[in-house]
Parts: sequence; structure tokens; C-alpha cells
Amino acid sequence: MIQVEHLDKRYGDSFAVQDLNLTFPEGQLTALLGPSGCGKTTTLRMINRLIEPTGGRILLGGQDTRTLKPEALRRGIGYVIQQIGLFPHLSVAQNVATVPDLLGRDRRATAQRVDELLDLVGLDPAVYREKRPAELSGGQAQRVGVARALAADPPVLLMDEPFGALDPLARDRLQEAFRDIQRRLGKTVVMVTHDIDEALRLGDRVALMRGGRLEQFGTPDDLIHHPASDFVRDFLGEDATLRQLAGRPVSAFVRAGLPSPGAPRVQAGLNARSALSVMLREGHDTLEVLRGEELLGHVAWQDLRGKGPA
Amino acid sequence: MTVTLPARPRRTRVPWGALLWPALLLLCLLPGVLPALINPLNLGEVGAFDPPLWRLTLTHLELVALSGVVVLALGLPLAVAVTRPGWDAPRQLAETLVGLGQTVPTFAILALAVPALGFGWAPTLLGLIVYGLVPVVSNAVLGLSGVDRGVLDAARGMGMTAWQRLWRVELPLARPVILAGLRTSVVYNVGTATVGAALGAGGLGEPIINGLSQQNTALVLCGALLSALLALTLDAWLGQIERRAGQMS
Repeated sequence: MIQVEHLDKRYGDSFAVQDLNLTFPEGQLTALLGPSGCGKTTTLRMINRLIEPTGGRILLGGQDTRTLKPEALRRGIGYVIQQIGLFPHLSVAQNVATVPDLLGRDRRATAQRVDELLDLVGLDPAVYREKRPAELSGGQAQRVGVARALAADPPVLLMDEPFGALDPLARDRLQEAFRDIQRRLGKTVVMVTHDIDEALRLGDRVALMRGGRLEQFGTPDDLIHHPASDFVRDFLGEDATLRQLAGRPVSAFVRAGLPSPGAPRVQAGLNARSALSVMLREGHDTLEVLRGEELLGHVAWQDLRGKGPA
Repeated sequence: MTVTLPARPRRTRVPWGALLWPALLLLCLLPGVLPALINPLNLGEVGAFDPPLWRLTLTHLELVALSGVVVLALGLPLAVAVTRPGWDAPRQLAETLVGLGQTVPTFAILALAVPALGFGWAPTLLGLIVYGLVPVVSNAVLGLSGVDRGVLDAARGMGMTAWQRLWRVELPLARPVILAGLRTSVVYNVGTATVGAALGAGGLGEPIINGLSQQNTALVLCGALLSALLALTLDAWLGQIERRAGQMS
């Protein structure tokens, strides 16, 4: 759990972040969302003290971060950035082993850990272990970046637009992969993004910032259905609900029941926005959802309208 | 994610230069070989050398090597210091000063150094160091400031101290550029060091100076040929080291 209390960052007369109070819940992914210049990256970088606050404090697991040496603090926090920043002169395995090495962990245990992590991020260790960063695609490189951040098993992960530089296809795949990883590991993640889709798709919580201040903090549903201000509503846009549906499979909305005759059929893996689109196209209120040949149940448009399961 | 890129081809080219030039140099140093080659040109009489040519070459090499070590020992820390964040003004100052070293003719530096340091090795070394600093410092500054900012941010964010960033990230990444600067510096100084003979430092400048004063072009040719071969040899060897370093990073 990360608690931010009355956090300020002032440059001269202007505030990059002003009186920010926020609790990033344990084991959840919080998206720091906002237009550029809203202070989200500054906030993130104050958590691992890459930027020193000018006021307020940050508690990490109840401990004031100022009581630790910055290097010691950072070694206990995973860090993933948009530029990826793999060390080009080291192999993939050496890159992933960076923080365990800094911590003086046993080499053999680390080597094993590296293989586990490469597996976790979807890279075959036997193939990728000895490769150089220059031999990887952008998506592969950021997978290594995520593995490197997780290497010392930190409880907290800071991510600064981690998928921002990837092409749309690689970004989708990596977001998907990361959501699975996060579901398994349950890290406390703070992810800076200006991509609303990404925030709604991946965030358990969303903190929307504007001009150095917190505009609203809540679940994606809270922000969409109960925006705290016109700014929140405008920022998320009129199609926010569709964006949210796009991040969920239609199977999450399925209700068991008898098939309704004549209803169009869709596969369970289809995302809910596309399912809605099928309803509109076919002029039907209900869809039959199949997994392969097996009937899972049906989805009515009222089901999609509700909040749906998280 | 099963696509695998082909491994980077590692061509092992035969380093002809690194073998040919030292072989030619050694051949020319065998007693009698150089006179036999040059005398037929009728440029002057070349007899036995005293001290022998291999001694002069060795002295020359010592001058160049010693100045190279000092240049690296001075230039690298200087470049590291001025590339730290917040040192923009000192960096510009250092670049200006070092650049000044190159604009002042070596001969002038040597002449100015003689009253202070006397004749012999000391003023020669001073000239070689001042002159040799230029490519080393400018390349090291270039290499260190060219390290990708994202890489440095990642290094800092993962908890590397300033020293760890320097040793583990910045210097290894800048190494090929730094080595290229050292190579340029050393090759320049093989030529520059011949001037040292005028100050009594010895080396391959000796036959050149003697040849000039005796109007014996053959002697000048001897010194010039040997220092050129020495320069080519060192250039090829350092190039070889540079290429290795480049492959590693």
C-alpha cells in the first residue's frame, strides 16, 4: 500500500503537483490518468524519489520513504518506462538479473529466477536468454523490461507509459499478457498513462489528475457512471462505456438460460463492445454465447448496460 | 512470440593490417635491410646506425606509450567529471581549453616548455600530452553524453548508485567511442614525437633531424618510413581492440 499525503512539487512559483492525497490500494493496479502536464509522471517519480517532493510525504507499507536511502528504496520497487531502457551491452538474462545482482543475491538462484520470469512474460528462456536487446522487437524488449522490473520480486511496481511506444498490435498483446501477470502476482501497481482505453482496461482504480491536482479517484465504473466533474466526463468522452466494454470478454456477462430462437451466435472470447455491435447489426437484443460448439448461455443488451462483473 | 531473429552475424575477418604492418616494421629493423633498400635510390649514404634503429624505435614507442597512458589517466576522469549533470559550464570550458591545445602548434608548445623543463623527455612528453588530450577528451565527452537517456533513467530507477551507473552502464557503452579517440591520439603522437628529437628526447626523429642537418635525404626517409610503419602498426592494433569492444557491446 502506498499512501501519498499532502504531496507537493514546486518548480519556482508553479506547482507540478499540489496537495495530492491518495492511497494506492495493496495488490491493485491504479492508473494515473490525465492530460500531459497534469503531474502524473512527476507523482510517479516522487514515489521512488527520482524526483524529491518539496512538501508532504509518501508512505510505503507504512514507512516514510525519506527514511530510506534512495538507492535502497528503488531496489525494492519495480520500474518500467516507455523508453524501456534495456542495457544494450548486456544479454537479456543479464538485464533481467540487474536488481538481484545489485542486491548481492546468489548467482545460481538468480539464473533460475531469470528463466522463470522470461517464461512468465511469454519469452522462451532457451531462445531469448542470451540475446542482445538490439535483436528484440519492441514488444519483446518491453516484455524483458517487465521481467527485469519483477526480478527481485518487489511488492510495488511503477510503470510510466509502459506500452506507449509499441505498435497497436504489440500493445494489445502486451496489455493482455500484463493483465494476466498482474492477476497472478497481485502486485501494487501504479501505471501512468494518457491512454483512456488503457486506464479503463487495466486499472482496478483510476486516479484522474489535472493541473497537479487529483480530479477524481475511483473504479473505472465510478468515473464513468458518477463523474465528479464536467472535466472528468469530458476527458473520458461520450464513448467511455464502449471503451470499457472493449476491455472485457462477452463471456463475463453471460447468463445461463435457454437459447432464444433466432438469436445471433458469438464466441465467448469476443469483446463486449463487438458483441454490442453484433446486436445492433443483427437488430437483436440477445446473443447466444458459445465456446467452441458448446453453448455457454446468452447475453442481453441489458446485461451489458449494467456494471457487469469486475 | 515464437519468431526468432537470426543471430547477429559475427564475421571474423583476417586482420591483415594488424599482421602486415608490424611484419614490415620488424623487417626494416633487421640490420642492413633498410640501407639495402634505400641506398639504390641514390638519395644519400645510409650506413650503420648508432644507436641502432631498433633502439630508436623502442624509445619512440616508449614516448608514445607513456604519453598515451598519461593522456588516458588525465583525459578520462576529466571527461567523466564534465559530463555529470549540472556541469554544462565546466564542460564547455574543458572543450574550449582542450581544443586550444590543438590549435597551438606542437612545436610552439615544445619551444615554450624548454625554458621551464629543460631539454630531453620532459618537454617532449608535455607536448605529446597536451596534443594527445584533444581527441581523447572530445571523444570521451561525446561517448558519455551519447548514452541513451532512457537507459540511464532505467539504471537510476532500479537503484544503481552514481558509481554503479558509471562503471556498469556509461563507461561500457561509451567504450568504443573512447577507444577510437585514444587510437587517433596515439597515431597522431607517433608523428608528433619525431619533433622530440630536436629537444634531445631521441626516437625516430633522430635520423630525420640528422638527415636534415647533413642534407642526407636517405636518413630522413629512414626515420619517416619507420615512424609511418609504427603508426600504421599501432593504428591497426588499436583498431583491432576497438572492434572487439564494439562487438562486446
